[in-house]
Parts: sequence; C-alpha cells; structure tokens
Amino acid sequence: MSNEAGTRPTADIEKRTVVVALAGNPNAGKTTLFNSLTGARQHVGNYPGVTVERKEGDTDFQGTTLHIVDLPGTYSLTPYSLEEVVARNFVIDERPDVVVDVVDASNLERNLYLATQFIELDVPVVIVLNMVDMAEAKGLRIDTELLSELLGVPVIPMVATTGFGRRELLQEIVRVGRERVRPKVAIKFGNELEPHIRNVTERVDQIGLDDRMGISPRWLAIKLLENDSEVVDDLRERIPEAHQLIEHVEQVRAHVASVLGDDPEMVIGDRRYGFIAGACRRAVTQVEAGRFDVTDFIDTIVTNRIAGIPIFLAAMWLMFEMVFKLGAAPMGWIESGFEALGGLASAHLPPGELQSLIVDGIIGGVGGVLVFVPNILLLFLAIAFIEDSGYMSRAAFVVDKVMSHIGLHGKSFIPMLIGFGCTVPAVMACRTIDDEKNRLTTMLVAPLMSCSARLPVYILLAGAFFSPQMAGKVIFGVYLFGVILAVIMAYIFRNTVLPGETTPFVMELPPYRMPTARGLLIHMWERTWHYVKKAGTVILLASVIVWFLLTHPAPPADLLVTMSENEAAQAHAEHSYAGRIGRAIEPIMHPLGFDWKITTSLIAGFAAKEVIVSTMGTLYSLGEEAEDESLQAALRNSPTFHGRPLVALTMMVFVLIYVPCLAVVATVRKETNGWKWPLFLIGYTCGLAWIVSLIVYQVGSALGY
Amino acid sequence: MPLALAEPAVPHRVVDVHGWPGVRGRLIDMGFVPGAEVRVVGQNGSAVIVELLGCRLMLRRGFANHIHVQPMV
Repeated sequence: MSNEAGTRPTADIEKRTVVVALAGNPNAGKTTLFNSLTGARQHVGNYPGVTVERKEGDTDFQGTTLHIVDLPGTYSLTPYSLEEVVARNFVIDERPDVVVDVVDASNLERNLYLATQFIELDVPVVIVLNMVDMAEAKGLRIDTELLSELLGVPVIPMVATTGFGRRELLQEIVRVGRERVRPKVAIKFGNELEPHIRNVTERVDQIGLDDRMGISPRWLAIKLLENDSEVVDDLRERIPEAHQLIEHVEQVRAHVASVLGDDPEMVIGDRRYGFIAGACRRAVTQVEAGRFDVTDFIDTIVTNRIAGIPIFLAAMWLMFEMVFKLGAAPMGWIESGFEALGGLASAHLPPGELQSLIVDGIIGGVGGVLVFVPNILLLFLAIAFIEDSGYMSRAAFVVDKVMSHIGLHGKSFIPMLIGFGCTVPAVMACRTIDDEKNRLTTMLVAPLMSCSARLPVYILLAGAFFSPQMAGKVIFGVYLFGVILAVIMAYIFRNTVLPGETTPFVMELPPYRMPTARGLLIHMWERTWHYVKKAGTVILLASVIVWFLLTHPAPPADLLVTMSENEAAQAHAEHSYAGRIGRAIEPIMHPLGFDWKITTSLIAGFAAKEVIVSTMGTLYSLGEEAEDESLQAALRNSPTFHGRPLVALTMMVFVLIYVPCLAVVATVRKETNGWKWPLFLIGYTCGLAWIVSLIVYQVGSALGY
Repeated sequence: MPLALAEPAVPHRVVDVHGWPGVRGRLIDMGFVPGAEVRVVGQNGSAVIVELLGCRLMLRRGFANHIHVQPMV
C-alpha cells in the first residue's frame, strides 16, 4: 500500500491522538453514539467549502485522545448527494486513522452496504452493531465473531442509548487506529468481472495512480468500472495521461455489458448485496419470527389513504396547543423577572443616558426576546419528538400528494415544518432534497412558514387587540395563511423562475421508536441555544443600535422646555434617526395603514424579527409615566392602531411575509453560493408583503373593520 | 411489470432496474438489485411505500416505475 500511515503528522507522536471518522446510514443511531462517546466535548462547524454540518468531539481513553468526526449520514459512498461526496472525500483526503461504521443491527443487510464500500476502500474499519437489543427483540440472533470473520473487520455489538459496549468499542478503536488494521477480506465481484478489475487495477498501478491519488488501486479500478463520475472527472483533471486508461475502461464496460447483459455498476451493486447476504445467512439466525410488528400496525393507520391526512392535521394541532398552552405560565415568570430587573436598574442608576441604555435598550430589548424561550423550547421539543419517533417521514409521505401538485415532493415538507421553529435550519435542511429546482423552491418558500421569532410579534399584537379566546385562533390563522401563501408561491416559482420536471426520490421510513429523553433534550437544547445565543449577540447588538437610532440625536433643548413629559418623549422619537427613516418611508407604507412607528419597527426587524417587539417596546414606552402599564396596553391606547384590530392584523400579515432576518439571507447566500437567490428572496418577500398587506387593509377598511 | 403497479402486500422479485444513470445507481445502492424481494405496503396518489431488505422506503411513482418486478411463485 502506498498510503503508509507514517506520512501523516498525527501518526508520528506515538499515535497519542487517533482520528476517528464516524459513518453510518441515517437512522442507524450515529448521533446517539457520537453524543455517548464525546459527551459535552463537541464542536460544530462546517466541512470546508460546503455547508454540510461537521461535528467533532474528543474523548480520552487509556492515555489516547480520540478525535471523533461525525460524517453526514449516508447509504453509500457513490456521490449522488452532497452528503455522500463530503463523507467520501473526508475518508479519502483527510485519511482518518479509523472509520467507525455504525450499523443498525435490526436492519443489517441494508446497513452493511456502506460497510462494503469502506472495506473496498481498504481503510481501517470498525463496525458497530448498534441497537442489538432491538434486533434481539425482533428475534434476531447475531454471531458477531463469525460476522467479524466473514467481513474481515472487527464487529462490536452495542446499545448506544444505554452505553452497553462503549468500553469494548473504545478499546477496538484505539487498537485498529494505532496499528491501522486493514480489512482482511476483499469483496469478490464474480468470475466474469474479477479479471477485468484485476486488469484495470494493474494499469492503475502501472501509471502509479494510487500513489498520486493516494487511494487503494483496486478501489480506484472498481470506481472506474462503475463509471463513478466524481472519480473519472477528478482523474481527468489531475492526471492528464490517465485519458488512455479512461478510454480503456470504457471499452471494458461495453464488453462487460454485452457479455453479462448488465452493466458493471449493476453487477457490482448486486455482488455487494450478495456478499452481505452470504455473510448474514451464516452469522444471523432468526430465532422466532412473526411476532406482532408495531411499525407495521401503526403504518397501516397513519399512512392510510383516508385516515392519514386527518391524523397529520391532528398531530400538528396538538403540537400547537402544547407549545402555546404550556408555554404561557413560564412566559409570565420571565416577563415579571425582567420587569423587576428593569425596576431595580432604574432605582439604582441615575436618570440619563446610561439608565436609558440599560433599562430601555438592553434589559428591554433582550428581555423582550428571552420571554419567548418557553414557547421555543416546547416547539423544538415537539419537532424533536416528531423526528425521533419516526413520524416525520410518514408525514412527508402523507403530504406528498399535495406537495406533488405544487411541483414539490414530500421531503420539502420537512424543511417547511422546521421553518416553524427557525428559518435558518429550515434553509439548511433543504440540502436533503436532491433535486436542485425543488431545493431552491423549498428554500424560497420556507421563510413563509412562520418562524418562532415571528411568534413574539403575533402574541404581542393579537394579545393586545383580540380577546384571549380569539388571539390563539388569529395566530393560528396567520400561520395557516403562511402555509397557503407558500403553496401558491411554490406553484408560481415552479412554473416561472424554476420550471422543469421533478426528480423522483427515495426516502427511508425508519421503524417507530420511543424517543429517549436524552436525545430529545439534546435536540431541544441545541436548537434553543441557537436562539438564546442570538439574543445574547445579534439581538443585543441590534437592541443597542436601535436604541441609539431611537434616542439620538436629541431634539434641541429649548424646544423641550415647554413640553410635557409625554410630548417630549414623542419629540425625542420623532427627532431621532430611526424616526427620520421611518418618516421618510411612511408614504409608501401609508396605504397599508402603517405610521412611522410601525415602519420604524419593521425596519429594525430586518436584523431579526424579535427586534420588532423590542423596538416597539422602546418606541411606545420611552418616557412613559405609568411604569406598570404593559406594552400591550400602550399599543391599545396608541393612535397608531386607532384602537382597531385591523392595523394589528395587517402588521401581522406584513411581518409574516416580509424578509426573514439577516441570518436567513446570509444562510441562503451560503447555501446557493451567490447573491442571486438571497437578493431575489428579499425582493419577492418585500413586494409580496406590501401587496398582500395592502389588500388586507384596504378590503378590511372597506368592510368597516 | 412496474413496481408501482404491483399488487399490495404480495411479495415480488426485482427483475430489472431502468432509468438514467443517477436514478439507477441510487436505486441499486438502496438494494433494488435483480432477485431482491420487495413488497408494496402502502400507497397514495403520488408515491408508494415498499418493504425491501427489512426496511420501509418511500418512492415516487415515477421512480417506482423504473423498477420491474414479478410476483414470487
């Protein structure tokens, strides 16, 4: 082998650090294992050049540090999706000391397919048979020693959720990683194909390609025969004299196809599955079969043609009820906590610039955002439950028919559902959609799913202008309206800017599982933490900037002398930079019933939608005499809304549609690799928001609301 | 016959897989190789759910039509 371990820097220092790549199919329990191995020592970043999330973590074991890199979940190493390319390139280019392939023991045959590809790559591999308890419950008995012998790589039985087998795994990782133990068995592709593979392998050797590409020559030969576009293109680009080899491979491919009646990729895929089936036949025994299958049973109900949709809608309704009903009480506690903090700060700080900055700018701004943490925690908890239980993919199936009408597929539903939590991960979740046009369309309409940051604005406005019984229904209506708009816009996009056929797709429906508390909490916490971090950084900064824009410059002192306190506050706001900007744009917003205060709040909302609430807090409570008067009451009494729900409703509609926050724009830019689509997103959302709000306000006014 | 037209709940065998290289390669990777046992376990207007190698996959009908199957005897 050419790729000797000694050339790697990490190998020199007595292998005190072992680099581990964690691979596996989606749903094999990879994330659980990663969390179990690394605990809190994790770092989340991106793979270079692409936006696939890269999680890394460290753990120490018997004097060796294991540096674990979580690869994206994939079924194969053939580059049909970004995730697969990333996983493969990591193993080939960064050469981890050992690849740990997490395999669902209750679903061995499919899961081992990926393992065969690592074996072909001839890199050190350890297979983790995860969820052996589930396999046993299904009546499967696996002889791990025999399986290990047949596959030629170590096989460790494990239950990642309980930590069973963790120690044995760590031991094996250190041994295989330090000694770079390679697979002992090579997968054979049959008497017809093997001579051709050997022949191509020799030619690869002759040109010394393996040295220059740094990969096993046999693997390269197999990939060439499989006509792997990534490998062929890479070879063409990097090694000019390889064109002869490529031509030769094309001839061999044609020859194989004519002799076997099937092209090499089919024969190779077939042989891989044959190899696995052979190993499983010997190492796995079905002890008892035909037990009642829960997944079977639930699926006949939830994917039923008639019952599926009502069940889906009921699940969504339940989620909403839980998020808003259970969240109400803790919200109140946080609110009073920040009020008390503000009161405390007012009492101890001398009146003036600093007091205003801390009380109105910082405590008011950040507090107004953190109040919604209970709602957001519950929402992410619900989404994590839907994901981890296995219902998410069923929901995608149920709505696929509807999605197909608007030119999208069921998978687009997942980013849209996540969009209710936060648009940023929703845009990122679009990566799972293989088809480019579907992906872009989903990305463009996902912001119309009302994210959790918009919820504070709705709660504020609906709470102020509608009865408690009506407020919830109005908010639900706004959410529903967003979904309807998304459907319409997706249809329009698919027929105008992004036309073309939909690529069909395959999606796994994992068996139903009771989500573990630990898994749910980690999911919930990670996502909520993003929100809290945003409150601590971007929103804090935005609050201070907005506070500055709202309070500077001060109006001339001689003007203020004759004024009452309220008039002075008004003059302050009007004279400020923000007030000036708001006033300048006001004529455009006037037909929507918006005055300069709403306009100013909406401008501030560009930074993040929660900032709208904090800005309104500043705009409507500055210099307020009655300290205990809540913002909602202030809004009701303000001339802005004429005490009418219509303006509030129009504003909710505008907030629903217009530009998601700057973070989303930045994410879209990153995901699409350019400014075209983020700019398009800003343009269309603002335009649409204005038109729809105009209709709502004008029609509402005409009807006398 | 195309997989999308196979009778639900009845075990079938994969005979052949068609489609342009990307689609075909993906299907082969997912285990649709000649001889594999496959069963339709659910369907709606746009997609089918099949059981293959002990797990459930959802396929769009257009995709499922690239897979040719015959009932197992």
